[in-house]
Amino acid sequence: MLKSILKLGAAAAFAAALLSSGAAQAKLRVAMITSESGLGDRSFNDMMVEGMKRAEKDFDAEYVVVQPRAVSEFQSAIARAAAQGFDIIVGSSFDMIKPMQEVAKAFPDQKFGLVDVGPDPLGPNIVSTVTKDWEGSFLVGWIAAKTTKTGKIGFVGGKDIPIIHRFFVGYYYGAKMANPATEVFESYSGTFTDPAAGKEYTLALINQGSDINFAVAGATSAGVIDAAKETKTFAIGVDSNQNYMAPGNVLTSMVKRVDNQAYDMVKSVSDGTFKGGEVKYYGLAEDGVAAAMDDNNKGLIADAVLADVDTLKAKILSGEIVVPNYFDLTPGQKEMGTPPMATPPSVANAK
Amino acid sequence: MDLFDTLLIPVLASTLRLSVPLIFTALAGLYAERSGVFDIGLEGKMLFGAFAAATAAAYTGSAWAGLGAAILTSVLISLLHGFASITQRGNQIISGVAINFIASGLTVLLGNAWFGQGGRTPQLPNTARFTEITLPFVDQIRPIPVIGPIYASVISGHNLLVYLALLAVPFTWWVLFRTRFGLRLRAVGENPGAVDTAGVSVAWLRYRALICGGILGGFAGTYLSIAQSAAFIREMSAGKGYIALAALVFAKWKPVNVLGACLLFGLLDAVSIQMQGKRLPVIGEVPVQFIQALPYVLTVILLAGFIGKAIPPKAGGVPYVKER
Repeated sequence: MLKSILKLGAAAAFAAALLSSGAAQAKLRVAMITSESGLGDRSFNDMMVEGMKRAEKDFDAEYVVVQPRAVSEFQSAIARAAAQGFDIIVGSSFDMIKPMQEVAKAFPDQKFGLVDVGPDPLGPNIVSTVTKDWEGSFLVGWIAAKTTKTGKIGFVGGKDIPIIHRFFVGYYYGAKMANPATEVFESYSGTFTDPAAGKEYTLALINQGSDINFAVAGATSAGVIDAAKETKTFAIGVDSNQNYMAPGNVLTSMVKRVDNQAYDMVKSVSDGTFKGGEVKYYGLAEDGVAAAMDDNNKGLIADAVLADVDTLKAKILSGEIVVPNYFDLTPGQKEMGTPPMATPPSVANAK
Repeated sequence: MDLFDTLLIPVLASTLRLSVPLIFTALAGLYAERSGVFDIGLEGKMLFGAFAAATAAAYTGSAWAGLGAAILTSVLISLLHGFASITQRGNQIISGVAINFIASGLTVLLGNAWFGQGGRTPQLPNTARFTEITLPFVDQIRPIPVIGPIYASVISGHNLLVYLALLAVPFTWWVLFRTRFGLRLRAVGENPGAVDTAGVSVAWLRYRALICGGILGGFAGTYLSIAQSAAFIREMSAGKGYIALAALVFAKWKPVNVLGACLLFGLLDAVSIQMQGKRLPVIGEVPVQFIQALPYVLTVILLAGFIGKAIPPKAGGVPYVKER
């Protein structure tokens, strides 16, 4: 059933390609598949296009953006692109893993790339990336500890689950390294979709004296940012640049630079280093994560603190600093990372 | 005294803020269920209302336009529920569940089509929202011990809809128990046959009850998206419609009890938020999940008959069919 649909799609696309009398093959042709929110989302899709634009210039490539409107359309969209024979088809998000794998099986000679997913290899003709969000969290933890006036900073996670703990541990490590006296509050709203809860949790932290709160909670984050705006404190956004959501009250955002990751994928095809099945890790040193700076948060972070970023990057690159990954920690572990530092109570006290 | 300022006051203020959507929604359910129409679709109405409010506020820049759009949308959804379950005599539960599904899908679909931000609406400026109101005499009353901080930090400083929610409770009580419409509405939920015999249209009465519920559902949605938050976000009702339904059962379908039940559920929520990561003497760290689960546990205990009995309106859930 599935195969016949794919074949049908392939036939239709082939006919279309014939009609358009074949594009010039000299240029590198790239297809980018957006997630369902499409272009203009001020998030991953827009960022990926930025990467494409740069790749277009640097590698004499041309790119096409395919915008499926729903998760259920991912597979047919990828299949249609594959049928047209691009040099590489790039997508993002966990929702695209299965659809891309299915299509990749049917088109074994087509190259695929998927950014910001898990550590498992996806297939012999797919490259994928893992974003070291713990290093990005480390960076914003450092910035928060250097910027706080009360010496107390907070963390509002979506759910109390390991993948979110990974952000917290990085944040905690960065804050403690910047200033060991910093108090770091940890809280979890229990939901990724309830901004009202995010707001109340943040107000509770602010009430305890925290003046900078890092929101890692999906849609719940909107409430964290709203609370910052209301109390004239700071929030820190996550994943994409959320500085615009409350200019002046979002200190920065821990962004996953999916643009760089997508750019590198095109590059690998251009210079022939594409290796199917490869999983690349993108951290601070690889410019896979960053603290977002734009007009909305201009002047909120001291120049001296911003200058630290390059130093930290260099130290991570040389191995002088190793930011702990929550998944490598064991419950009850007392110290973590390089240089070693006391683990947060939630890890140290875990049974 | 320290504990009073740093714990009790924030918990109470937070309780009030968290209870408001529950109060509006539970009252919406009260009108419907008292008239004999079960309304599982409260969640969906709230979500539709929230989406309509944020969309209208985003386009017009006016919070009032948002409120109007939310009420209109929520009433239309109520009428849809009415058409299916009153006119067509369909199963009320199924119609309500369908509304919830439509709400969760359609809001995201439309939001994405119109704004292209993954189903959310644009961030609203404060001018397009219901923002905090400071009540008069706050500065004069604040220095008074106990009453001062309560007035200044708990009672004052909320948005308009919070006060409207509190007013909606006595208003609903008055409508239900002091007006002819209320008397008939209660009667039609207990014994529609008698109402019909008296020459009053059962269908029209139930429709009017649903319209009342729709209006309140619109208020609830508006509160979520443009008063408490600054945008619509997919699934932002986050199960509050169901909690409100539980509160309604817990309150035994009485308006004043609804206020109490919603405040209790809000209080448990607020306590769990403030307690997170804090250690209590003797007990140690309280698992937050335990407190978060309490509203549901309480409702189950009530339904099991341990805290008195919750008897729903007798004709609830049964479409009215005239004898021929």
